Amino acid sequence: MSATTAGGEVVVRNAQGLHLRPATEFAKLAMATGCRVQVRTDAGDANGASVLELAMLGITQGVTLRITAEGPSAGDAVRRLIQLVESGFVV
Amino acid sequence: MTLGLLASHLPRARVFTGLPALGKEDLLRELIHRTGDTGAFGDCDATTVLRAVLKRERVGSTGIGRGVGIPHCKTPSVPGPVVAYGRAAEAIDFGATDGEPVHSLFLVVSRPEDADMHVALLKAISKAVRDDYYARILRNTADADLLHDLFRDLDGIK
Repeated sequence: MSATTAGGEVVVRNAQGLHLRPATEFAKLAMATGCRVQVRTDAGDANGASVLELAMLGITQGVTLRITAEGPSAGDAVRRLIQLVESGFVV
Repeated sequence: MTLGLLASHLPRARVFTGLPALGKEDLLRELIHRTGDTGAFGDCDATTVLRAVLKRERVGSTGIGRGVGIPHCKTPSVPGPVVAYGRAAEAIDFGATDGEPVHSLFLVVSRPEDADMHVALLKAISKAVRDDYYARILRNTADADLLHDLFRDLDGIK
């Protein structure tokens, strides 16, 4: 399967923001997709598979995440990551 | 000098080094009880905080890598966000994401309504851990005064 690139946006809705547990869930899923995932906010960029880098963005409720994925099934990876954020990080 | 977010929540009295611990729970108990002894938790007793922190750890380790953990919990009983630093006498297995033993813990206890502050404190600590220079100092320094100076410096990291 050839590598593809895909992107999408999602707003963090849960009241607690992207604290450590949601950041961990996001990073785990990003790793599981097999894609290179980047997350961009107005505060900067982060490797989507790094809990540390995601925590560094200080993402609170209402922040828009711009997610890009590069790799096999990138579109599916972005869709699943957006779903995770929209679900309030319920896995 | 105006203190930054982390420094203003982490007074010298809550920087502990040489914490004896045989394992993860031991280390958390030691750090939380010493923090409680400073009066930081107000009317909330340390055992309640320990129970909440252990419950959170069961969901998943807060060992974020590079030998650092950020155990935390939310409880309405504390007077405001409480941060404490504890350094283990010897690094211990903490179930961290990168599998590395943990030498340093940043305890963060906040009220449920302080969610944004909680995330801001996590951000400040994560930045320090991500920075190679500060991560190296954290790994190699066991002197509480030096560490406290470091925390005052950390807020300047971009």
